Formats: sequence, structure tokens, C-alpha cells
Amino acid sequence: METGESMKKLKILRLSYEKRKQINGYFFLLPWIIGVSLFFIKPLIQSIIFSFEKITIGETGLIEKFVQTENYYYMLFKDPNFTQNLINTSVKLLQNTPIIIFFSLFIAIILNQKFKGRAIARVFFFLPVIITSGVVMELVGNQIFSVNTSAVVQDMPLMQSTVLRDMLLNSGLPISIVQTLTGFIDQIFSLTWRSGIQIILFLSGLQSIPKMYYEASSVEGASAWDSFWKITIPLLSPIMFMTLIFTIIDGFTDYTNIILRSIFSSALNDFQYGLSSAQACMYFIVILVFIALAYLIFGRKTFYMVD
Amino acid sequence: MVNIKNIKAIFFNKDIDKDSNFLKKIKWKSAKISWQIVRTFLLIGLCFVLIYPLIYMLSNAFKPIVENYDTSVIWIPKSFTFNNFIDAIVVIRYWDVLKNTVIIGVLTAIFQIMSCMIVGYGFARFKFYGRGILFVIVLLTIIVPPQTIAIPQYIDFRYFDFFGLFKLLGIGSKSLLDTYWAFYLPAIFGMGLRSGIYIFVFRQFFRGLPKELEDAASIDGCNAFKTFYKVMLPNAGAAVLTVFLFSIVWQWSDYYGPQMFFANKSTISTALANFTVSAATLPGVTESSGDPMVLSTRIQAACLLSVFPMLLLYLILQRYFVESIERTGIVG
Repeated sequence: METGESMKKLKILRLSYEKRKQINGYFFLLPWIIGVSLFFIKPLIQSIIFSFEKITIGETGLIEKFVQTENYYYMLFKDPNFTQNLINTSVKLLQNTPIIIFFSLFIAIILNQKFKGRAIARVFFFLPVIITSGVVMELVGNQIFSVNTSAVVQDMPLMQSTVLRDMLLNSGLPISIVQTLTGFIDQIFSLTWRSGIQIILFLSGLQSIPKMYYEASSVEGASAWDSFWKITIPLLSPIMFMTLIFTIIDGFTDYTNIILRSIFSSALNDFQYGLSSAQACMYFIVILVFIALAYLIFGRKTFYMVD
Repeated sequence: MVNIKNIKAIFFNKDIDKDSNFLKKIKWKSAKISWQIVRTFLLIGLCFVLIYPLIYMLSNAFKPIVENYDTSVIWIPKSFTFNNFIDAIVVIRYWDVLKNTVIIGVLTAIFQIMSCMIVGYGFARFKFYGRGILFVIVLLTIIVPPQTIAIPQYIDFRYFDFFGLFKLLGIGSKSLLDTYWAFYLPAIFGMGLRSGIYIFVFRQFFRGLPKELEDAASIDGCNAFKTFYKVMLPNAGAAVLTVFLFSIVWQWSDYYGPQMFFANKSTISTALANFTVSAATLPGVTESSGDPMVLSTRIQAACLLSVFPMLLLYLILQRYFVESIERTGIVG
């Protein structure tokens, strides 16, 4: 009798404990729910509405006028630069993203090996994470790469592969191959400087793979090559996907990005808020398409240990 | 003695008997050594690429302007000067701007840590209706570039009204432009710069902690909030450090936010971006503004000034930083 009653009590307690937990969950999320509705959903919807309007600044506030798809039409068919810039940015991203992913994976694997001076090497490779400032990199990079600003650079083609290009051309390789090769070398600077976070992600991913898998596979007679493809790559695939998404977003929101500049200049300099919003929405759609593509191609292939 | 001889004999025999095995060993060893050599060269080369801008900045920042035209000066200037720094400090109003940037950086970082930790904990440890959809929204906040929502947000901040509360209280709308609140307010509510990523990091981190912690605390009579700050908070050091560093670094180098919300104030990155414009006040610049060499050393000095505090922070925290990233388990 007594035990039954206490069991009943316990059941009620347990139910309320679960329910209390549920309510507490909302409490923990409350600040974010306020934030996301005020600083994300509201402006996002407004941005979409703005993109269909012509906005002028009146004395009491904004005067909005619905103009249907005029902004989009102007942007896509009349503006001579926007579409071209959009295509250029997308092509550049398509080229750079795989290189960045493979490069950072390669570096992460090296930094995960044991060798003398590893700690120092890591300090160097995480440097781009600290100096992420696009402004600084542009100011410094401009001076390093431009030929005519500084006598120093003129005398030292250090970061450019003119010498190598001449050498390869003289050795009889076709021009197209030489150009892709040297193009990659010319980009090494910007690529290494853009793969800081990716290297960190891959490194922490590599370290989360239990050592015993490798031990077991080597006992079974697998070579290092086998265990790389059969253990490292599948277990790393979720991080690879994450890194891919991050690289796409990072590439699209870069400081030097020409489209972001045009979004800003049409709003802040020309006061064409509607056009600016239309550009921003269009840009977001392009990013979404890229991410959806990445998901369709790679999202299914990622291998999750637990789920 | 006999034993050792025996073993030696066995090894010796083996090596001679199985010649191919011996060769394989040599092959493997030579491959290993050559890989080590390649790796060393590769790492040194890439480290050079990574340090190159810093060397370039250092080399130029201390160089007198006259030596820009001297082709015999390549890396190490013939004489050192601090004039570039003195000019740069005046042009970008360094101390004023530094104060702005540090205050915004540190405070938003603290606000972001607090809010994102709470939210991340909520996502990690509670099951409630709609959690999946809400988390998709978190991911969406990461994906949507801040520039897409920047214009309405600008207008919002221009005539800011907290859910119509200000109007109700009779204050009327307030302008958050040119105030620090344009950065604090989103940070407090978990929607600051890249907050989505921090929420994600904290969620992954809290998911990795053992469930028994909460149950034990709850049996000991802690409610959810007490559990959070008595049990979970003290364990979150690694994640907090990671988020703090990322937050402060990204806020430091953010250009669009300050450019958008500050008209009269500036932070390091906006001041630096406007360097060539504001340098026109310097004596001797306006006359020869067509020549970029006049400014190049000063620009490098300004860049060095802007990077230096972050570099210092990194060198101090570097060891903990690498460790904490490994331990946070961003990957989950």
C-alpha cells in the first residue's frame, strides 16, 4: 500500500520534472527568441518587402511605394555591372572552395602528425584566424602585389611566379597548363590566408577520431593509405561538410567582395534602399543555391557515427 | 649473452631469407625520410607566406619615406624612424579609435558569451516542442549574410523602438546610430556578429557533458538555473575561451557593422579603410597625392598598429587557445 502510494507520487513528480524541463528550455531560449525576432526575422522580412518597393526619405520617415519587380528588373537587365559581378564572384568561389578545402585538409593532416616544431608551426597557421581583418589584408596585399607602387616589389617578384612561368614555358609545356599551375601559385598567398579556420576545424576533427580505430586497422593489415580512405575520410566527412559550408559563406561575405560593396554604395551613397535590398536578396538567393547544391552533392554522402 | 645472440641470429636470418621484406623496409624508411624532408620544406615555405605580410609591415613601418625611392633598400631600411607611426596615430586618431574598438570588442564578446552560452545550453540539454525548427533558424542566421538584413536594421536602429514599448512609455523612438548600443543590444539577445556560430559551439560543447551532472544537481535540490551556473558554467572554460577569442577577433576586424552604424565614430577597421582619405590633412601629402609612395610607409605603420593588440592577445593566449579548440569539440 505504502509503496504503491510513493510510486504514484514519484510518477507525478517525474512527469512534472519532464514538463518543468520543457518549460525551462523555453526560458533558456527566451533572450534568443526576442533577439532573433527583433534583429533577424523582422529585418529579413522587411528586406524582402523593400526589394519590391521604391523608397524615398521624407521628413517624418520613409515613404514606401510598391513597384513590383522593377528593382529586380533593373538590377538583372539594365545594370551593366551587377550580373557580371555576380557571375564572376560565383565562378571565383567555385574555383577557390575546393582548393581551400583540400589545402586545409592537407595542412591539418600534417599538423596532426608528430614532428619537431609542431607547436610553432601551429602558431603560424592559426595566425590568419587572428588577423582576419580584410581591410589590413587588402592594404598590405595591394602593396605587395602591385608592381608600380613600390620599388621594393619591382625588384623582388617574390610572391609571383614570373620566373617559374618563364621556366615552364621554355621547357615546352602548353600555355594553358602553365597558366593554371602558376595561377595556383600566385594565389597561394590569399589561399593560405583564407584557410585558418578551416585548418582549425579539420584539426579538431582529426583529433576527435579515436586512436583505436587506426590500431585495429593496422592489426588487420591495412596500410596507412587504406586507413586514410576507410577511416579518416568517412569520420571526417561531417566536418568536411561543415567546412565546405563555412568556406562558401566566408567567400561570399569577404571584405573585398564587389557585390557587397555595390549593395552598400547603392544604399548609403545613392539612397536607393529598394534597389539595395533587391541586390541583397538576390545575393542571398545565390548563396542559398550554392549551399543547397553543396548539400545535395555532399550532404547525403556524409557519414554520421551516431545518428 | 646467448639470448641476445639468438635474437640477433633470428633477425639476421629473417632479413637475409626474406630479401623482399628487407627491401620493403628500406623502401618504407626512405619514403618516410623523404616525406619528412618534403614536409619540412613545405611547412617552412608556407610559414614564410604566412609571416610575410607581418615582415613586410615591419620593414616598411620603420622606413623613412625618402628611402622608398632608394632601390638599394629592400628589406632593412638604412635608418629607422618612428615618424610613420606618429603620422599614422594622428591620421586614424589611434588612441580614440582604439578605445572605441576595445570597448566594443570586449563588451560585445562578454555579452555574446553570456547570451550564446545560455541559448546553447537550452538547445543542448532540454527537449521541447519546436526545438528542431528553432535550431534550423540558428543555422539560417549563420547562412544569411549580415548585409542582407543591414538596410532594414539600419532604419530600425535609426528609429529604434523595443516592440513598441518606448512609445507606450511615452519616450518615443530612439536612435541607436553612433552609440555602442547598436552592437551591445543584438549581442545581449544572442544576435550579434556571427552569434549563430557561437550558439552552435556552445551547443556542441554542452551536449558532450555527461547527463548525470544535471540529475545529480537536481536531486541535490538545484533548479535548472542554479544547475546551469553552479554546475555547467564552471566546466565551460574551454568553450568560453574559444568563443571569447573568436568574438573579439571578428568584432575587431569587422568593417561593415561600424561602417553602417557609426557616422561620426569609427573603429580600427573603418579608420584604416579611410586612411587615404583622412591622410590628406597631413603636411606634404596633398601636393603629391598622385604618388602612392608618399603614403605607403605610413599605411603599413597604421596596419601594424591595428594588428598589434590582437597579435599580443594571441601570443599571450596562444597556448590555451589551441588547447581549448581541441578540447571544445566544435565538431561534436
